[in-house]
Amino acid sequence: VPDDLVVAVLGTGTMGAAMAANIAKAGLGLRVWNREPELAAPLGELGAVIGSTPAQASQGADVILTPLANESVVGQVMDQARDGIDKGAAWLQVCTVSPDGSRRLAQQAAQLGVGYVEAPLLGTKEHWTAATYRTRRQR
Amino acid sequence: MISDDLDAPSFPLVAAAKDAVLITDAARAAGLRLGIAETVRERLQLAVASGSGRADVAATYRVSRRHATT
Repeated sequence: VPDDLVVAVLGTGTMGAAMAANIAKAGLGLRVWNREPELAAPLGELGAVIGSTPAQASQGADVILTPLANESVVGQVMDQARDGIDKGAAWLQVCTVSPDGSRRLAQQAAQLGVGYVEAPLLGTKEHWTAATYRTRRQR
Repeated sequence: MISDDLDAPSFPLVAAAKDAVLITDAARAAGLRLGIAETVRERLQLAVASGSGRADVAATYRVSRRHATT
């Protein structure tokens, strides 16, 4: 992993906040956004740049994570991020969605000009905090 | 669960409900009716509807308490 990699975490709920903290501790650049800003604010102490919109948080990010509530929210937030996303960024989509939903989001990624990686996570806050979560084996 | 201290979720109930819907919908689309998973879906959705969505998934027990008959 390059030292200067910048990761945007859109959604800092139970999963997102724990992942973001690990990203900051690993020394990577961190940008965050959350619909309720008070949940993102504590990450500022770890050096995160806090965006007031998904687009602002996505600016200059090499990797965009979407630990959000469901497919509908993921789609909406990535649409709101549109103007901030760098072409060529990689979208690591970590919210579990249906197979059809994954195909819809992959289409959206193509329209946004970003790479799409479906990476739904198994685990609870304890796994995300300890960074022992697993991605599902892809066929 | 004993002290009902479930407001700082390890896994939010609403997310578990969402996943239960994904699982049972996929099964239904394949012509399968997953009995226990369907019941889990119903219980989790009841818990969300009654306001426990942001609590830990263990808060689903509140539905059982409310439906207790003895």
